[in-house]
Amino acid sequence: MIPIPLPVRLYHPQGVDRVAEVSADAVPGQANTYWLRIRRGPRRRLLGKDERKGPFPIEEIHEEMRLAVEQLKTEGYFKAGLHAQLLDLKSPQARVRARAAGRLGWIRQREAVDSLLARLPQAVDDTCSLLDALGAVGDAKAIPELRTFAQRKLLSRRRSAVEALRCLNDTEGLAQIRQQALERLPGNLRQALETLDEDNSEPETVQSLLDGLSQLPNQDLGLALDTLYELATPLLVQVTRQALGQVQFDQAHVWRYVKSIYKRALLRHDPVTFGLLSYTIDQQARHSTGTLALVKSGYDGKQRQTGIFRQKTQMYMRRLSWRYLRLLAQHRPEQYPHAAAEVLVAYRPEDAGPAQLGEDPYSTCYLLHRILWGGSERFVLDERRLRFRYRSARHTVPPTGRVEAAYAEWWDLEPWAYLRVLGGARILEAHHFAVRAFQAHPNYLSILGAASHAQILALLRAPYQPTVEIGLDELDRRFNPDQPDWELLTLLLGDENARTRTLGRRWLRQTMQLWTLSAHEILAFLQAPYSENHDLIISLARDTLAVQPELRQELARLILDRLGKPEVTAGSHTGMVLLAHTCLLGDLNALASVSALLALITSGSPSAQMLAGELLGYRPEAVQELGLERLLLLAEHEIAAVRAASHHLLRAAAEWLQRDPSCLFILVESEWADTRQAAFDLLRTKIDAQQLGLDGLVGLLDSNRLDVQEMGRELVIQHFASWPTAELLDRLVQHPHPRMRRFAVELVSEHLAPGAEALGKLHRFFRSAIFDLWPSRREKRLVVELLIARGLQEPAQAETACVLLHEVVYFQGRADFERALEGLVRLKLAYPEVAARVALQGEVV
Amino acid sequence: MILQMEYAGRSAIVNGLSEGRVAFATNRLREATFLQGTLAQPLLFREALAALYQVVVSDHKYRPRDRLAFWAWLEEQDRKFVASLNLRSELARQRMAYLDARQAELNAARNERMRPYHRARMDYFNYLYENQFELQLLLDPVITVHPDEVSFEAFSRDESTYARLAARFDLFEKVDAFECGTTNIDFSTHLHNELERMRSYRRTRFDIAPGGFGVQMEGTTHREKKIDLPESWVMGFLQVHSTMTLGMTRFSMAAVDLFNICRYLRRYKTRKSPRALRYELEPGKRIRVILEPWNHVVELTTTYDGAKAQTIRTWGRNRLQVLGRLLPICRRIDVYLAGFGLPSIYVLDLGPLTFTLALSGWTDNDWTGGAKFDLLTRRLNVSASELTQTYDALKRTRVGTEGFLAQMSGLGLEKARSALSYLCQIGRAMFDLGGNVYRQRDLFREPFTTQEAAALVKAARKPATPQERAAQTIFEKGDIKIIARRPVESGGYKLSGSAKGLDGQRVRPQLHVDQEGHLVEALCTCKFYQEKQLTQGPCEHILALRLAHMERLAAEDAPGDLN
Repeated sequence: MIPIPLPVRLYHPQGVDRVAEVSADAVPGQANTYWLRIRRGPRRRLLGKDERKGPFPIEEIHEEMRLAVEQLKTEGYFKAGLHAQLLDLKSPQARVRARAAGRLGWIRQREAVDSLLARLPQAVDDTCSLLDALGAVGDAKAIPELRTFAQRKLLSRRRSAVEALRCLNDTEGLAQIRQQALERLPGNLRQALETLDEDNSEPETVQSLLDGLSQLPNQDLGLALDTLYELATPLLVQVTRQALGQVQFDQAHVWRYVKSIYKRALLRHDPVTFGLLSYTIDQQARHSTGTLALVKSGYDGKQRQTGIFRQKTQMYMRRLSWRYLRLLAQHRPEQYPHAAAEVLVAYRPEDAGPAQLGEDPYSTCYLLHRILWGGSERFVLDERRLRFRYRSARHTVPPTGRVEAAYAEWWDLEPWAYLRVLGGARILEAHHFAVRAFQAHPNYLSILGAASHAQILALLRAPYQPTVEIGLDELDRRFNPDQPDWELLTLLLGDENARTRTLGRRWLRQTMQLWTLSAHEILAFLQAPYSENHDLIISLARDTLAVQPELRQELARLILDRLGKPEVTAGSHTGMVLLAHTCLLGDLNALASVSALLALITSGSPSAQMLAGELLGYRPEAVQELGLERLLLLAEHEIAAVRAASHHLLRAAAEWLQRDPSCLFILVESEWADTRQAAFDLLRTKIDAQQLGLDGLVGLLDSNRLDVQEMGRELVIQHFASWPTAELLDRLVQHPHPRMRRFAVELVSEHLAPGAEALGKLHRFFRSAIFDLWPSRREKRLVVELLIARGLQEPAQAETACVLLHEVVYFQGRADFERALEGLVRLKLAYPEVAARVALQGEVV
Repeated sequence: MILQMEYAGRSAIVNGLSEGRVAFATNRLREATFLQGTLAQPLLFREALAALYQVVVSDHKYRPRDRLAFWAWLEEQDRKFVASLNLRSELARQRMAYLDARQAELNAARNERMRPYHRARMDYFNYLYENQFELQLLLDPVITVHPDEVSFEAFSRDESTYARLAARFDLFEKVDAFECGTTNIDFSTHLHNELERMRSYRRTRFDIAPGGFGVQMEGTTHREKKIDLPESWVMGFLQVHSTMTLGMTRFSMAAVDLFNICRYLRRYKTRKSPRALRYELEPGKRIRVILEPWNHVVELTTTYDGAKAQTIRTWGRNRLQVLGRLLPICRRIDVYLAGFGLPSIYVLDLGPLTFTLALSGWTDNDWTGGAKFDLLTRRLNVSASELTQTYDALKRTRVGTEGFLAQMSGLGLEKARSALSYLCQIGRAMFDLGGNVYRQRDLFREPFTTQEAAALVKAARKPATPQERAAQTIFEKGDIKIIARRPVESGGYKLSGSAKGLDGQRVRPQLHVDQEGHLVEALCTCKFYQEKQLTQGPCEHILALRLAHMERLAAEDAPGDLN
């Protein structure tokens, strides 16, 4: 659609008809046909002399208008405003000159370049404005002067000159500047840049530079970011944007450079960076009141206590953002919707404040409000706080059938901006505006049709149902089940949005007759790391695979081939392995050798290892090929399927284990519970207790693992008669674990060898039983009773028992005390000569 | 400070059928220190190392419970309640109740479904805890091979507990070779578990050597461990030995006494304060330990043989439970109490082993927190050369009493004492409370130099704390007078003075220093002392009185005079 040209107004400083206006007027009754109208007069409101040309079709009217304007310029007319600004450039006040230069930059009239250049040598405070204007006008004759300023030390001058050169596309000058900028970068970043391709903005490359930035102290971070943005390659701009999203602006040495990047974004008309920074300033201003810091001025080099990102600055910057958008709408209307869209995309639902009486949730989001509701009369701005409120209670409901957004007409000029909002915005209000306006646009369907798959998929991630519907409708329109777009289908299946994947699965079902016959398509769909896709693909392909042995074999070959290579992304082998596990085990078994399986286990992805482990379990002949030592290693493998295979093979190697059961002692100490369980099963079923021997049994009992101890206990109880009791007890009593000690106490109480020597050897064991801070009542009772019983047998044993019982007497527990005292008394009564330190019949204890 | 350790192998224990080998890998970045021998009583050693490990991993610092989930739940209940107020129709109310029940049902089903995942996650955390935790958090013990023993020193994670395990050479059946020195040993959770498998029926070789078991791990030839060691941790090490040289109240108890205390603490918990352990000491009577707030009395089996009755309260008693494993093998326990709210030290006699456990005043007060023990120890001014002389003497002999070291260094006894006190405070020496001797122990790998000595002396002459600065000012202005100074029978002096503080108030400090010059008791009539007693270190008036006493003592001291 060709837009209707806007009227052009001109001014003659000396003539009688000082004002002239060239416009295009529609011819009544004829679509897309316009008169060219030229009117003149002494004042803007007194344009009398009317001249008409045409009619012209819309395709020609732009050119005709340009010619008419050129004609008027030859008569001595200037573009409206230009003359006044040129006069202001001669003002004695720098402020007036700077403002005039700024305006000249916006109206971009080459006639102004000479005046601007002439003003430059005397300029001081207005230098930056003049340089900015020269860049914006875009006349190459300013290049030599700009190159000189680009060498300046002062950041503001250098920035203006560099960005002006960029606008003029001066590659030679920019190459020089790049070299200087690289020298300003910290060493680690400079070295990183030397090795990187700056046109490649892969996430890993971006991340490596972000890591480099994160290591910098705050003092250097700002300058580094500004310099990266100055270099202006796609990679570095991407890095700067990402880093800015993580920076706190209210810090000394940081804000100065953030502001510089912001100004560069305005001069370059970089809508993405502008949108991001405007939003971040708006957002951080709501939470921060800034700081005070002693910083050196770049202007005069003096150190001053300076407010950093204080409220005044915040307000200024927020207003500046809107002023820039306004000027864009006025002078470059085609750029306004894109810049505004980037701002809308940046806002988040979290930016909505708590509900306040008379205010809408986004009342503090100044720029958002200006863009979305700038054309509405329902809101009043509190200039002091930059907050919007409803004009009255009647104005809380939006009017029906009226667009409230600012400059809505420019949005319609650039409908792609709607698509950007719909694909990126997170707040419902932005979607509400964009959906209504986009659907009403005459080119709605053609734009959707021309959009890329990625742009359409982005619509499905929107938080607003009508936006999602637009995306789904478009995808449905694009998809033909008879001639499916496999690339689109693969994209859908791999999308992170669940709704998109659901659509993809629907298409999978619709096209199953086609793709289930192709091994390559099946594998391509299985690449996406989502289990619900895998399940569906396998369930749909299973029947076809069951009756197509060639297809199965081809798939098996392809899968083995792919599993031998590293995963493209983590988990990309999972689907294939699942398919293999469900449908292809037999074919894979026939194809893969034991050595190939071992190679997969050794160096394959986790999924490949799992499959290889499972296949290995079906190969009893692998026992001979692998040998016991390797089987033991596989039993400690981190993949459960590999361990399961080794357990299976170990069972087949029972004869070897019976000859040398010592390797089972290694397995019972494994950190994997299933391996330990397998070892226990082998010990219980395949190994005879006698083959184990006392050392083997004690090895089990000595373990720190409770389940292994339990196994040892089980064997002791089962075959107690076959062990040498004294030796077994001697070893058992040294175990430090309380559970084993309790077991030992029970055995000792029943099977301790007679005689004082046997009792005496257990002195420390008894002490550890009675001095347990978390004691077992039964254990203590058994010990005390055993001591008493053995003490009563002979005086030598009574001596040993008395020493221990004497300590128990001092325990602060009634039962212990009474039992021990009774024992002491009984021993004393039995053997009065024993030094029991208990006196009877009234003697002192 | 970042403490770096580098091990050529791993500490490990390997058990065969009849032989075992315990090998501790030492820090390669420290001086070459080794010991090779065969353990005569491996079980004793096992229990003692287990107790040391308990100290290393113990952390009794109070950390408020994270109640985030509770507050979220509470908020949800509030929200539901407020929402229910808006439900006017009975039908809606029933619908809401049904939905709540259904949600609970679904949550339960989800939890059931997620159970294997949660279990696996917990296993993973356990794995991380066992395999990674030690690398960042556990400070490996410091090991020192002395001419007569090998010692392991360690601090707890909360920096409030210090332990020293000293194994005399008679623990060994045979010592093949050794080289004296100090280093760190690789000590991990895994090793602790393995040490539990030491048995007496296996002949156990014991090696302390740089190689350990020298297992080459995944292409690296050594294993590095870097710990961000808090400055306070190092300071704590130094403060412990200052405390040990203080004149402290000493008595003994039997293992069963400590068992009774620990068992009661294990069985009963209290939320109420005070949670102190009150020692009531009366000459000639059995010692009573009162567990507050229950006022439960544990009467010890031993009597107090001190000269004066006193009551001392200590806090952080739960830390005593780390000694649980030592009780069955313990013969006797010597207890040293510094005073009200001040550190306490328990020295356990395990036969050929001695285990020293030093507890700070209370759990949250680490060794550098409040009490300035270096202020309580007595110091004469020592020059850099005198310090170097003393260090050299100690390095030659490795171990010695202060009298012996004074002779070896050719300094006066008082000078030697002060120099040894300085050396303890910079980690170049340690005081062995059990043996009552000084030992050389370089805590840091950098060698001791004259420059370090000079810097130390310079720093020591500069008052470090406000109290020290104030005391110096009072002393220099002559605002402190010794009113009475009399020798005490047990040795040392009792002093009474009159001090005019910086605020112009005149107060009356009193001081009892023992024969070694350490502060035994101190009193003052000032506000600082009335509020804090000695828990935050002595007040400026007490310190000024001590300065005046030291000046007089220095005049009386002469080189070579051992008395």
